[in-house]
Amino acid sequence: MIPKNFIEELVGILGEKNVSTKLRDKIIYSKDAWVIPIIKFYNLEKLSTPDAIVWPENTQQVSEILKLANKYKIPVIPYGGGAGVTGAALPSRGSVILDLKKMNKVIRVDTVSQVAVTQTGIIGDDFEEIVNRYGFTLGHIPMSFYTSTIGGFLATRASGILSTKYGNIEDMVLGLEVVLPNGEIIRTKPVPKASNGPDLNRLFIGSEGTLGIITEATLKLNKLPEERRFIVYIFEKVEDGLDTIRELLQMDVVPAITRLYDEYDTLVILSRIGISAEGNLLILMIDGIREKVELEEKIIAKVCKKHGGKELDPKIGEHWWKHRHNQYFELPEILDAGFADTIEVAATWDRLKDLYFKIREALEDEIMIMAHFSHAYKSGCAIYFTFVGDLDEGENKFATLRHVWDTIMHITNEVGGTFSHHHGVGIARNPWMRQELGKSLDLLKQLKRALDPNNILNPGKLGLDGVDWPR
Amino acid sequence: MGVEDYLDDIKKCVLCLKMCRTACPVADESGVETFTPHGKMNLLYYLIKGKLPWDNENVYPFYMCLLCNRVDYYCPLDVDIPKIVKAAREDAVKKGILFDHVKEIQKNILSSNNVYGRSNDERDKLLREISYEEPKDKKILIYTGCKASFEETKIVKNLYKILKEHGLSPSLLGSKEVCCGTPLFDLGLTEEGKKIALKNAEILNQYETVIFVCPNCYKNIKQTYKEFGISVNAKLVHYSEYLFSLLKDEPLQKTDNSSKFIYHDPCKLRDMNIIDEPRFLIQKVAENLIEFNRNKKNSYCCGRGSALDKLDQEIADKITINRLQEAKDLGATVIVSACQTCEIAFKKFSENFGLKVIDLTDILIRNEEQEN
Repeated sequence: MIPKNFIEELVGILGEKNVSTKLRDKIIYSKDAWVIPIIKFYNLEKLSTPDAIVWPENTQQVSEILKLANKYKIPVIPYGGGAGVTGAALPSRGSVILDLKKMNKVIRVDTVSQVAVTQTGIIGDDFEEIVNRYGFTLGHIPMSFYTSTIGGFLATRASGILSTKYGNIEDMVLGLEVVLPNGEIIRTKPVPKASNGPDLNRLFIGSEGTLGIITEATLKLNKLPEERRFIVYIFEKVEDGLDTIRELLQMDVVPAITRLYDEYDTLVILSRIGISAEGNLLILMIDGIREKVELEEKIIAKVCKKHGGKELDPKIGEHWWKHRHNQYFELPEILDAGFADTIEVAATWDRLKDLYFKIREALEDEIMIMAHFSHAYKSGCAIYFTFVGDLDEGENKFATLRHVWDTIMHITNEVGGTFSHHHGVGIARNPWMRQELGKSLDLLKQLKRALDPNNILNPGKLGLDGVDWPR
Repeated sequence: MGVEDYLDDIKKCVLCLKMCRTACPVADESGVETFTPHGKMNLLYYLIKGKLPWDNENVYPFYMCLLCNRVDYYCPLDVDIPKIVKAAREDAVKKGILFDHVKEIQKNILSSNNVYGRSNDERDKLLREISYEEPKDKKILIYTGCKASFEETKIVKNLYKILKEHGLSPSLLGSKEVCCGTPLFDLGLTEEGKKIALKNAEILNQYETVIFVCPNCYKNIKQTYKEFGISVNAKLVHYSEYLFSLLKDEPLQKTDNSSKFIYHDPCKLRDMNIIDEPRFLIQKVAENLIEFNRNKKNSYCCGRGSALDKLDQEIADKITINRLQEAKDLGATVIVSACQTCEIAFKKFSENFGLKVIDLTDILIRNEEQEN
């Protein structure tokens, strides 16, 4: 239980309206988009609630909250949209949620350098709408775009649907303002490139709020494309679709979207948004200056056909683009008695097919599992598995879910892939963090101890404390 | 219907991934998770399941809502959030939970027949100002609504003038006009709302066509009354629809080439699918009409829906400013709307943004004047 004095001092820093100890708020802040707390909430089970929620309005207040938390040794959980699927923003017992959403201003759009300086509590969609006013786009549109924040993107080292061309969030950062666990405020220089030692931006990007709270970011922008064109092909074999993507990227034809749905994902997920096709559906989107787009379109057609692809109506792609946020959200009928979850892994091209088929073969008799390949690179690609199963009877209703995770984590490690392409670690991947990082986890722990000796910031996440899944 | 009747929809929200957050201006400006549509539905789930008590603290978030229904554009599960929020408010009222602003509005409407609690005779002042002549027939009624009767009276003057110039003789009710009951239905005072609806239906049924000045009255009488089985047989139209029919074929001159107009879709007109008509009329008389990024079915509220300003003035003002900033960033010089509530909200801060705020009838009357 948090001491009363601590709350009083918080009110002194933030004012009464920005501090809540109301039970209603504690309950609402007790889940994110991880399937386990969602199911527990739905079943009215005991939740891990915070003792308070605070809404700082500026960086100075964030700093003062962290200083105070150190004084009282109270854990602080940075919170953006609560849209993560790994439990990274879940409160631990006796903690304070620090919700950044009142720090939601775009401070400056520099049309000459094509960058924006923004507070990190802004929702992705709101940020995008504001830079659109100036003819720009961030080019970062994750599935959670309507509900996650810029800070959340940075903290999880996220990827958006356009990553193949526009890059992942870490590629978009020029500079950061970060409040360290002890309350000290640091800023990295917002420059296009520097050779001034290790890249400190990268120390905080992906640290999931354990090493510091990112309060401001200078981000690269792109011009809104003159032309956006969809190209849709169907392949009998998933391997042929993968070879097509690899060949295109390695010859420097880089679509903004490359998305290959395996035959099961094509059947199950895409049918949810009214697309019916048999086989492995490849959706590509190319954008930019018209002449360039026209040329790319011709090259893509040639490469797709070479690998046995059959062209489909590009309207399928346009329809998908329009409805893409809807496809995963008819979950209630599943979650009522089962689970639906996702795991996104990545590997280099030489291992990718092996990784995909091994996971499929290991699990297809036990659960419904499907995948798509997105976020492609010259050197490799991500595989995004979606799977649906039943909750177990008895004490551990998540036993099957855990078995699926164990299997995928194990195979991915064996093949030499990474256990997460962009969802991050949170609590969900804690059990496999040692396997993923090996001895590097000790280095990460040393960094954590050096920066946060009182373990104030987001404890229990990123494999740092040995915390396992809740039962 | 009580909130429990919506449990299946509420469950959908509990199991959803909050795709509605960006839709909600209150969530945007407050930063509070509990105020998102998702948060409200989760809270309601706990209230229905008896895990939280119905009290002021837990009912408060349901009044932190503009009922703007922007969520309709985003919700992948087609959950009718405003309807559920209104049901939650109604259940709260039945349990005796009445916030001060709810009590005040209830008292004003029930004692004075208008939302301000002012003498309803003041509505006659407007009639005198337009030299109103009672027509012999009861073909057309202009139903002014409280805001245009007491504050934005110019809209009625414009509208009356345009109709008269087209040989039409509309009736006005003046002090006999009774609030349509929108605030009562919206705030959970459904029983009182129904009583006032019956009174209005009796009056309006005497006319062939009723032209509404206020989008809230329009939606309420055309849609909400029907939901409660109260039928109004007259043809019910918003003035933007009526003027569209009246003026669409007239050869109006484009008289303003210098201003950059931007049209703000009022929530209730957007809900009633009146989207193209105001734009058509503006484009008939103005050279430069630009669009908000958040427009048409995705339009952003002015911040004054459902008396939010009476509960949290700061958040309501922030929402208004958010919208004005968008207009300014996009290069607009004049905001045009067709809703008095929006116009009153914008005028409070528009000068700070170098913006003029006008009503659709202003731009049309200016043209008419120049024509004559």
